Order: sequence, then C-alpha cells, then structure tokens
Amino acid sequence: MKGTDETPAIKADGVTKSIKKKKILDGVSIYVPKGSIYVLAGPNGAGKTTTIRILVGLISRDSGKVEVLGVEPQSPEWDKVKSKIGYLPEDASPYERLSGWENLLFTALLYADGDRSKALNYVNKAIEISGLSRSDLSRRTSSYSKGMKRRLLLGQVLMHEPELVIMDEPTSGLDVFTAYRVKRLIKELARKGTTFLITTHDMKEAEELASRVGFIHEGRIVFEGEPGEALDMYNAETLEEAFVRAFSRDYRW
Amino acid sequence: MITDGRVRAIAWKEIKDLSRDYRTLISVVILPLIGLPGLALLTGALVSSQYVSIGIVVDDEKLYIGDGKALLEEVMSSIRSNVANLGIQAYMSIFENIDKARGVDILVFIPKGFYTNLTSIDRTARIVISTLVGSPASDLAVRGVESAFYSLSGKVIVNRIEELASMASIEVDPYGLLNPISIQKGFHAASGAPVSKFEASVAEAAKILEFSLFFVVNPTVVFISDSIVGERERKTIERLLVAPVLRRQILAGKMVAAGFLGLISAVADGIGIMVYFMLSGISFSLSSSIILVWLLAVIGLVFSTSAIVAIVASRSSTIRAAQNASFLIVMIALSIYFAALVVDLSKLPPSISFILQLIPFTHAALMIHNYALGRLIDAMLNGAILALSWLIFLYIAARAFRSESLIMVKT
Ligand SMILES: Nc1ncnc2c1ncn2[C@@H]1O[C@H](COP(=O)(O)OP(=O)(O)OP(=O)(O)O)[C@@H](O)[C@H]1O
Ligand SMILES: [Mg+2]
Repeated sequence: MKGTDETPAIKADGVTKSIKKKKILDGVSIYVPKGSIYVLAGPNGAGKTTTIRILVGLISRDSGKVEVLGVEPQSPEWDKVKSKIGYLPEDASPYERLSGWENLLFTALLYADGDRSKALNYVNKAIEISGLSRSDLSRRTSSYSKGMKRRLLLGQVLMHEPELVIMDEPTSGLDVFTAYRVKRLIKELARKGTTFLITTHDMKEAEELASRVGFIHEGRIVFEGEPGEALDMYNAETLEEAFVRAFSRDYRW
Repeated sequence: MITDGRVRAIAWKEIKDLSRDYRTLISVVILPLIGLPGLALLTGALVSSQYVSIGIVVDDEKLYIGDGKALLEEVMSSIRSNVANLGIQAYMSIFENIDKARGVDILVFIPKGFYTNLTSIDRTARIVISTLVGSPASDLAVRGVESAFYSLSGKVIVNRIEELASMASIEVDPYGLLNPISIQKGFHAASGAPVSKFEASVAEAAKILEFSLFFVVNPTVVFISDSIVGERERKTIERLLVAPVLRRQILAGKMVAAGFLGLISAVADGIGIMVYFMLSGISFSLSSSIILVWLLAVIGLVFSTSAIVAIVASRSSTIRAAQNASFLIVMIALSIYFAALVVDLSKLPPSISFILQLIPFTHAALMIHNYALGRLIDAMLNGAILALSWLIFLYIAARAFRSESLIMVKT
C-alpha cells in the first residue's frame, strides 16, 4: 500500500496544542494510508484523545497541518466530509431516555439527511452490527449495561459504511466475546477498504489488528511505521515488548 | 427550517426525550394547569369561610320601639347582605351599652338622639364605627357596614327633599335634584373609533395574555439550558458534533422542540389562568384574532429566549451554572410581564421605555397589547423586532456553540 500516489486517509504534520498554557501535543505527525488499520498506542495522558479530537474537528490546534480525507477539519468544507467518517469517542453514551432503536433511528436520520428509507437501511445495518435483541432495542438505554451501550454506539458508528472510522478505545469495557466480535468486524471491514484509526492500551490487540502503529508519549510520536519495523527497531519479539522499550527511557524497571 | 431533514431529526429526538422527562413536563404543564385554578379555589374557599363579629351598641331608646325598631332591623339586614357580598359572614348582636360589646371585630355605636336627628329635616345623625386593628377581614367587612349606612343616608335624603317640596308646595324630582350630572361611560380605540363593550373586555383580557407570556419563558429556559449542557453532561455531545449536522441546525432543532414545549405550557397556563379568573369571579372575553396574535408572540418569545439561553448555556460548564445564569433572564421576564399587568408598557417615560425596548420580552408583550388596542402597525413592528432579535441571537448562539468550549470542561 505504501508508495501509491493516492492521498492518505489522514495526514497530520507537526500538530501542537496547549490547553491552559500546558503543552498537550508537541508536534504530532501521523500518516494513515487508505485501507489501513492504524493503531495509536500510548500510556495514559499521552495525548491520544486530544489528537483524535483534533482530527475529527472537535477542537482546534495551535499549529501544524492536518488533512483528513483530503480536507482540513477547521475549514468550511469539513461539513461535506463528516458523513464519510464514523467516530466512536472514548467516553460516549447513547441518549438514555430514548430506546436503543430510537437512538439508532436518530443517528440514521442525521446521516441519511432525513431520507427515511435510507435511514431504515442504516438502522438495520446497525442492529446487525450491535447484535442487540429486539427486546433490548425497544428498551430505554438507561437500563443497558456498559457493554450494551458500547455495542449500540458501535452500530451507530458503522451504520453508514464510513470510509474512515476513528475509534478511541473501541474495546474498552467489552467482554471477551464482544471484543472478539468487534476485532473481527474491524478486520473484515478493513479488507473491504475501510480505513481505521484506533487507540488502545492493549498491545495484544494492537498486534492482532495493526497494519500500522504509532507510539505516542507526552504529546510526541516516538515511533510510527509497520509493526514489523517496530519489532526491528526495538529489537523486540512482540509489539508489547517494542512498546515497553520505546518508553523505557521514561519508565525504569 | 422544519422542512430540513436534519433539523427535523434533532427536533424529533428532543421531543421524544422531553416526552419522557416527566419532571419537566409536570412542572411545566400539570402544575400550572392544576395549580392556578387550585389556588383560586383555595383562596375562594378561605375568603368565604371568613367571618367577623359585629356589635351594634344602641344607646338610642327610640330604636327599640315602633318605626325606630323597624329601621334598626332594616339597617341590620342591609349590613348582613352587604358584608356577605364581600365574601364574609357577619355575626351580629345588639348591645345596650358599650361595656358589654368588648371583643367584637367591628363596633357600631349609635348614640342617643340618632333617630330624632335622622328623621328631622336638616340635622346630622352621628354614629361611630370602630374596627379591630390588624384584621384584614374586618377591614374589608367594615366597608359593607359603611355602605349599609350610605344607602340609608340616600333614602333619608329623598325623604327630606320630598318633605321640603310638600312644605313649599312645589314639584321636585329628588333624583334629578341629587344628580344634576349623569355620566355614561364607553371605550374607544387608538384610532378614535368607538369600541364595543366586548372589545373593551378583550383589551382587558389581553393583559392576562401578556402576563401568561411569563409562563412560557420559564420552561424554555429550563429546557434549552438542560438540553445544551446536558448533551455534554450525558456524554452525547461529541458524536452529535461530529455527525453531519450544522451547529445552527442543532440549535434550530432544539428550538423547534422548545417551541412545542412553549406552546403546550402556554396553553396549559392560559387555561389555568382562565379557570383561575372564572373561579375568582372575574369575567373577561377573548376574540380568536387576539388568540392568534398571542400564539405568534409565544412562538417569537420561545425562539428568542431559546437563542439567548443557548448563548448562556454554551458558555456554562454545568447545568446548574447555566440555570443560575438563566434565572436572571427569567427574573427580567417576570418583572416585565408583571409590570404589563399593572402599567401601560407603551406609556412609560422615554428613558425607561428605551431600556425596555432593548429587551425582546417587552416586544412580545407589546405586540399583544398594541393589537388589543387596535394599533396594528405598532403590533406588526413589535413582531418584526421580536423576529429580528431572534435572528441576531441565533447568529451569536451558533458562534458561541463552539465544539471546543462545549467538550472541554472549564474548571
Ligand atoms: N480539557 C482539558 N483541560 C486540561 N487538560 C487537559 C484537558 N484535556 C486533556 N488534558 C490533558 O492533556 C493530556 C492528554 O490527554 P488525552 O486525553 O489526550 O490523553 P490520552 O492519551 O487519551 O489518555 P488516556 O489513555 O488516559 O485516555 C493529559 O495530561 C490531560 O490531563
Ligand atoms: Mg484518551
């Protein structure tokens, strides 16, 4: 996939961001080719969520260049790109006074721009992805378990078959079976050409999924490349080992 | 706006959500619907269960016999019915001397010579009325006592005139003599055209409609601030802002929902107020055109209040902070609408009027007011200003509704 002249799904260059005079991102550059599964890994507070929020246009940056699907997120054209993106925030919840089904319909109506039959297709797709039963879907989501909420959200993220899916810790809080299903789904969609950018703390998961990894630490990308390159660079057997070595300058054992 | 699929989707979501928010619905719809008439019934029941004791000390022995006795009985039944008309029951007793009358709420002292003076041609018959201090019921009832004596006085005057006329052997109409001027009252519109009694009572009722606008402001403030800050507190904001929907569409959708809520509460409160007035025995009438103007004012008011609250809410970090700030807005609205009930908003000194005109709430009230008084152009101008203020605030709100300030909680 490398070397094609196709524009990448995401290209960020030297992104910086300070919040209340504290430097959160200090020159983050990431490159996500189309069709890849990019895993952004880093310890707590490294700046993963902040990076992702900048990429989806939720927050501004202080400097650096960003293009997502060829468009700058802070530009007026961004609104046209939004429907091609699926986004799962780190800490999100469905509308709790609405049923699961109503939540799906609401998201579907937004992505289908009010076209009801298109929206219903999206809803069916989301039901299939979430794996929630009819009786679950007819209940208000305030009665859902954490995992059920996450599955419902996942259905909403993927219902409109986005070109680019950005997920902040997609498997956190999920049981083994559901996490397995999610990972299988990601791989399957990637095979069909969907691009993924996901964050995780779980290096086994990164190993399983990643076609490209980025290690982020204190607002800086310390490594970016294919998993094999990470193993070579850090002289490691597993990504977990490479990850630990990448940060060992700061973490003494 | 409503035809936009995404605005409709947002409005649909908000209304669904709202329809299950029983706490808001109860406080907005049910409470005023039951509360206002309930208040009328309660105060009505309390007022009619009031009673006062009236002691009449009769020192004039002529009132114990013959015509004097008949007169005293007439006065007493007149007092009883006059006091009853004020919603108060009177317990009356006659005392021969003042020492026995201690402890009564209202004391009427009729001295010696009262009957003689009253039945003479030109002498004044004196009485003394004393009221227990600090008793609202007695303060009210004493008016009934006085009016009983005024009407007696009227009858005595007629008798005296007739007697004088017969002594002088002339023909005199006592009513004409006593009422050299008669006043007939009517109403007119600002244009100078005469106004029927019905239309005049519509103008009176318009005041109530103006006041009812206050009840529209409150639910709008509560709903919009909760709905905006709530998206963050309930962790739904990030997905909403990343979805293909414009910020102004999100706000517009919320405003449509606020409009529904505003209309429901306006109707509920309107009914509540009408029932309140009916139960309180105050009569008024409404025309269908003024109801239409009122509905337009309600919508305009909901929209421009929504936009103002959206600006405040977008800058607040918690629902509580947003509602505290919005409380100020409600207080401004309350004072304007309360003032509308007692003063003519269009007849204030220029300096005060200028400040009031800057507040959109004023124009919603003036729109109804001017329409009711037949000032159509003015009413339309008020409507236009209301709409314009909404557009301006919506524009500011859409700018304030920035994702960065919405998702990054300030501490
Ligand atoms: N709104 C904010 N105000 C102040 N500091 C913030 C804010 N948001 C993030 N930060 C700081 O920015 C740094 C990066 O946070 P970020 O959430 O991006 O990390 P992360 O890599 O996603 O961490 P985690 O793995 O725990 O989710 C942290 O030090 C955090 O305290
Ligand atoms: Mg994070």
